[in-house]
Amino acid sequence: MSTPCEEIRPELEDLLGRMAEEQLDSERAKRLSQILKEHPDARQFYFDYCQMHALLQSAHGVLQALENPAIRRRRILAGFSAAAATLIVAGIALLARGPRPIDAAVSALQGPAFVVRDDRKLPLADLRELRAGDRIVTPADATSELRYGDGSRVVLLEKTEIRLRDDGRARLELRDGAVRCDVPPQAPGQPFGILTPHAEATVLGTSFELWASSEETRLRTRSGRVRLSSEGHSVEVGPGERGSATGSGVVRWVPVRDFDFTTMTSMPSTLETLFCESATLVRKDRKPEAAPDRVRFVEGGLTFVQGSELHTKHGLVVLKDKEETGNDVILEAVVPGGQRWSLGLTVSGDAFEGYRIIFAAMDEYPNGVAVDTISAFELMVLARDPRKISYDQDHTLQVERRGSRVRVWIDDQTRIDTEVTQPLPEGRFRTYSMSNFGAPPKVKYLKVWKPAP
Amino acid sequence: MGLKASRDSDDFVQLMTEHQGRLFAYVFSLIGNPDAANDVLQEVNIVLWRDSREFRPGSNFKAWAFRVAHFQVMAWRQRQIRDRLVFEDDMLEVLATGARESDEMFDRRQERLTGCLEKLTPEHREMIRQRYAEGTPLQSIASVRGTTANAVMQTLFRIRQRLMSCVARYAEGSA
Repeated sequence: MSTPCEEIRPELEDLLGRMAEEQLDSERAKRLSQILKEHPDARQFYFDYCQMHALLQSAHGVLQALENPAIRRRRILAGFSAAAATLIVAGIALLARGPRPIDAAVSALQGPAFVVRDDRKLPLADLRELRAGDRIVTPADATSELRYGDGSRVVLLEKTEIRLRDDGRARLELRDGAVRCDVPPQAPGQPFGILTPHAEATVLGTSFELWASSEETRLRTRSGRVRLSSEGHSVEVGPGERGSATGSGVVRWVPVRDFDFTTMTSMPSTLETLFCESATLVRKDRKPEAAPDRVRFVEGGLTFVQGSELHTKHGLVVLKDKEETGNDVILEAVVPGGQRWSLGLTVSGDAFEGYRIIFAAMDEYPNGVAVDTISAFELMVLARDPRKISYDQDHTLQVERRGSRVRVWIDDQTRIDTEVTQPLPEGRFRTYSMSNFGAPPKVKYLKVWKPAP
Repeated sequence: MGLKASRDSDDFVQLMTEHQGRLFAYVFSLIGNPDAANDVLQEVNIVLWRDSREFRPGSNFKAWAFRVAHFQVMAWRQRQIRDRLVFEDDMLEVLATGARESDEMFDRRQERLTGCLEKLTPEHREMIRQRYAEGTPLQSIASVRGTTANAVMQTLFRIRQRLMSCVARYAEGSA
């Protein structure tokens, strides 16, 4: 084994100790990188250390088999004082229990979902019982559903990994991906808990969806309330609300608009329609004007009217909210499939002044998603995702702006995640909007959330 | 001749299982974050499983799996915000080369690990068991022992260091 030079040894030891326990903040990470870059002997020590961590992690069976329960009990009893007897009894009970079947079963399965148990990968369909510690993975194109004895239902969406638990704190860990849960009312003091890399969701009886990745946990509550906790802070996320947790905190998003355009026949009073012809769109003398006839309701939703239909000029049609919603906002729109469409959703201002997110499910224009702005009287594309959007099926479009970050999802798949630095006009009206872009969309629903005060 | 078309080939699963530890070591060395390394390892497993038909028995599974792992690490890095990565791009090849070289000792060190674990004090062995076999959080270990999570973290580092010396003495000595 190599030994790093004395000059950096104490610091390196501290950094590696933290690294193995996920306690390495960004400043220390940079320092570790610098040390490894400058000191080849430290590098070799680092490789040996990573390997030892891996050896121990994969030595699960060896570690469990090192002592039998009787020997373990004698040693523990000999090693602790009588004053700690209650703790010891609890500890022995925990050790003796080991992984055991849990009161849940696979109730539905689609695709090649599998379980990792004792370092072995097993098809989920072959399992007769589920055990605490089982890691269930649903790859792309796979879903599975678990039913618990108390009636709770957990649906694992595709590209999801959970680890089953059976303790007082949680039923499962959501390590990556998304689950949809329906949880009946739980006994007092026995909440249905889900752990994620950043947060803990405590459920008393509700229906909700939970997404987790290595950097964030997102929650959406359909009914009931879920407590989302992270880093010592917690929020209660109620019906229709959302929550998000990262390493830097937890946020509750409250709904501010919920439009069902499929049932409307007239425009809500909070919305107004503006129009600006294409020829002046990026000129400083552009003058958007009211144009209520440019948007109308048709069977199944709201649509934008093309200039050719009205035998008038083409241009940008903007349906905006008359009230300010602030810079940080989440928008969600549902667009039906069946024909080509495109739609702009704008955050931090209307389509003239804010950041536009253009969704283009078309053939003649680059199909995909783009973030742009025309606030500086020129078209500036800030980010693009060229992956095509199909127009043969319904899609749920989501946009979130939080701080300088803009993220875009289609059907819960991340399409754009970008930092936006292009400044917007200081005196702009901080609202949101929808706008046209080529082939007109039919929009069924639009929902808007903003951070709770 | 390729593997049987059926994806649940016992041989292939066996190979994947045998290589989990060294694949994790490789990915972990390149990422510097154990939780993220576990995530990437899962993605590696999914790709290996998906492409199992491309693998020919008798060819070098380890080389293939490491190559897949390397690509998955690169893909993972592209999905991350840059300032959250432990290592910069220019370090990646250096780390990859070093991790592959270090892997040459993996089998011998693994063989020696059980003997080295038995040489630990019972208290240290129990701490390692709690941390790795049970996944007990640092804070819980600390509470039961009446100490701080930081102290447990330092003790765990010392135990790992002791085990590194132990497996190296035996493994390198018998090489």
